[in-house]
Amino acid sequence: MSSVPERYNSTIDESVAHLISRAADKRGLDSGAIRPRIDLAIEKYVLRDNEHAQTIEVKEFIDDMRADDLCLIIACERGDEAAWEDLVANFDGAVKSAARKISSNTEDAEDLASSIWAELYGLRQDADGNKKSKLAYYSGRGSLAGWLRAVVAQLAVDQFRKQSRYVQIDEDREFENLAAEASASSDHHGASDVHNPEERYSESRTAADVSESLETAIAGLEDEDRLILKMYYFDDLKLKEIAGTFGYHEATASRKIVRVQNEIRKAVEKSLRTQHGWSDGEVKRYLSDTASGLGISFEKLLTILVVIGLLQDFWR
Amino acid sequence: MELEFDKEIDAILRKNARGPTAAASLNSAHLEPDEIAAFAENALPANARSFYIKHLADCDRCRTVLSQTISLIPEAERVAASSVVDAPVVRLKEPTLFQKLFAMPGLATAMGGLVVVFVALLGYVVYQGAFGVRTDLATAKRPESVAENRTFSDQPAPGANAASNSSNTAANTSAPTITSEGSPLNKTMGQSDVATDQPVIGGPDQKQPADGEKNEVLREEDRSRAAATPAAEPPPAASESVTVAPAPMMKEQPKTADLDAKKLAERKVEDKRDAAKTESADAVTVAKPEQSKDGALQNSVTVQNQNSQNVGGAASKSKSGPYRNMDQQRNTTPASGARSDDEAPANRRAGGKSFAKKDGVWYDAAYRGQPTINIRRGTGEYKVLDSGLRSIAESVGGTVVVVWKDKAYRIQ
Repeated sequence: MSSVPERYNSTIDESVAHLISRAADKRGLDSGAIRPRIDLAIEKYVLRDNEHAQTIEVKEFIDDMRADDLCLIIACERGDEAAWEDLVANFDGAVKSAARKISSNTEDAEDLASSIWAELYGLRQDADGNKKSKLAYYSGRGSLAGWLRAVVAQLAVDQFRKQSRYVQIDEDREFENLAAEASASSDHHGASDVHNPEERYSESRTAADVSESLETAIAGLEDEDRLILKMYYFDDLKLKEIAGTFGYHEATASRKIVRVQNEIRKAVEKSLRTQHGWSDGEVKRYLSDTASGLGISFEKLLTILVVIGLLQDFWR
Repeated sequence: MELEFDKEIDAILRKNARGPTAAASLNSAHLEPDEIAAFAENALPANARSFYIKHLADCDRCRTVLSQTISLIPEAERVAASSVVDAPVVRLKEPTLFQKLFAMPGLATAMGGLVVVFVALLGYVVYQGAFGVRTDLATAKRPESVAENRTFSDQPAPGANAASNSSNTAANTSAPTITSEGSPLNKTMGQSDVATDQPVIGGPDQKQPADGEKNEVLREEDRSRAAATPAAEPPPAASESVTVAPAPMMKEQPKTADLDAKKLAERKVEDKRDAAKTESADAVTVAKPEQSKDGALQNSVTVQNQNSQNVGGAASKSKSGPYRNMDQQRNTTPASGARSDDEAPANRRAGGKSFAKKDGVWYDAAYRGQPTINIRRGTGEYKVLDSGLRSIAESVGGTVVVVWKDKAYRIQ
């Protein structure tokens, strides 16, 4: 039973009728077949955070829905074989392509794609014997291809996380262990080079302080900034991809990243000084060492070139 | 302020990307693929978006799914979607006010046009100066033309007219006409009485010879020409005011030569009186040996050859404006002096004072041999002198001894 307030009924009915009229192939669906799906989408996306949404917002929401994709999915869900054929014919390539991209090998990709179609078809049944299909979760707000890619990604991530548990790489692992691991794996000094126990202890303490400060700094960011930062640094997304997701220009995304960097620097430096008692010199040296640890610094490169030049002059 | 990419923080973030900061998660229910897909395509309502941003920022699993979903979007589809994205919300660099100003094509064109107009104006002014020189040179090189229009008058010339006269000479010589009144330019420049209402050949502004020494030569030529041309012979009463009609004009308008010379002379004498009353500081009067019945004023011949500079030199140039006038007057002195060597000791009047030249120095008539204050022109002492004193010194030119407020100044 829909919990959408009755005051929206007339608007929704009109908008649904309009949606059906917009569909190139309504696949024999009427307003009664589509209305429940629309109501769920309105509850989720419109009324959850705004119970007093205006009717115009509801109307615009429905008007922006993908009429053809929604009719296709609902028809498939209702057992329309022709719709199924169209779905497979039109979107199997997209599913397989996504599976290939996200999988490490072809075999895994094939398995992943097969799993997706099984999930979509609803091989599993609930307690009442009804087929449990992922098709029921498509709202029509985004494109069907995008939704299928999200289904592929979700399944792949879940599978990966399940496998990862066997090697004990879990999000619940202890913070200190992770910090030490991250520091040891990428520190340019190299943990193996530090044989002195005191130095090793100092290294681990430094890494822990920095990680804690960093975590605090990131947590203090605005939600959007935090998400952008993580997408950029943790998920290795490109600025163009991030910008497209948020609907602004790539240059804007770049500026946001730079601004977030600035905020994090201030927060980290402040935290290291105040929370962990670092001196200004230690903060500066650590940041500089970390930056130069990712490669040959410009200053070092310049010094090497000067020395080479001097040696050449000397030998002449 | 433009922020720069922070390499150090970038390195730390990358270093810790797989660390604990990336391993945050929420205990709340994860997002569905429909929500993630709608978020990835920026298809969520604005009100709902903030909820998903908050969840995705804190939920590692959902954010990973989102990132994977985004990375799965084909490039062609992304390009199509990005074409829908609005123009940049934030510019990389805010243009400066100067850039904004000149970003307007119309204004840039206008500024360019102004520069062109200014340059053209400057060129015109320079050209005008050069034209004046050319006019003087042309006048000097065409003695017959100048002589034809020259009138030597014994009336004091308004010094301010010298500048305009120099440029008007050429025009008048090229188009000789009988003028009954001064040209509008001369009126404007202050010339008032010279030959006004009097039919004078060539007009009043043409009475001024091109230069000093040349003037003497021309005068001789004029005299000889006048002697050879009975029609142009000035009447005895106008001996101090020689008006020579141009030959072509005489041919064209023979009546011009038959003008009543007496009337002309009388008229000029009247004009001279008026001018003498004004005691223009710029006027340079050279006394002539002949004394007329009208007294000293009538005995002087106004030398209006302010245009005379470096007579024989091809590079002779005239300054425009009052400075040119003063210089020209100064340069007139040697010519007058040269003539005075042949004739009588030179006298000058300026600022109501009479000056006599002795040993190359102009002495004020009021000077009684008292000690002088020696001052050089152009020095600071000279500049602080009374303007009247300076005006006299400039008018007389050369070394001059002036008695001014009971003090004697020797200005060199």
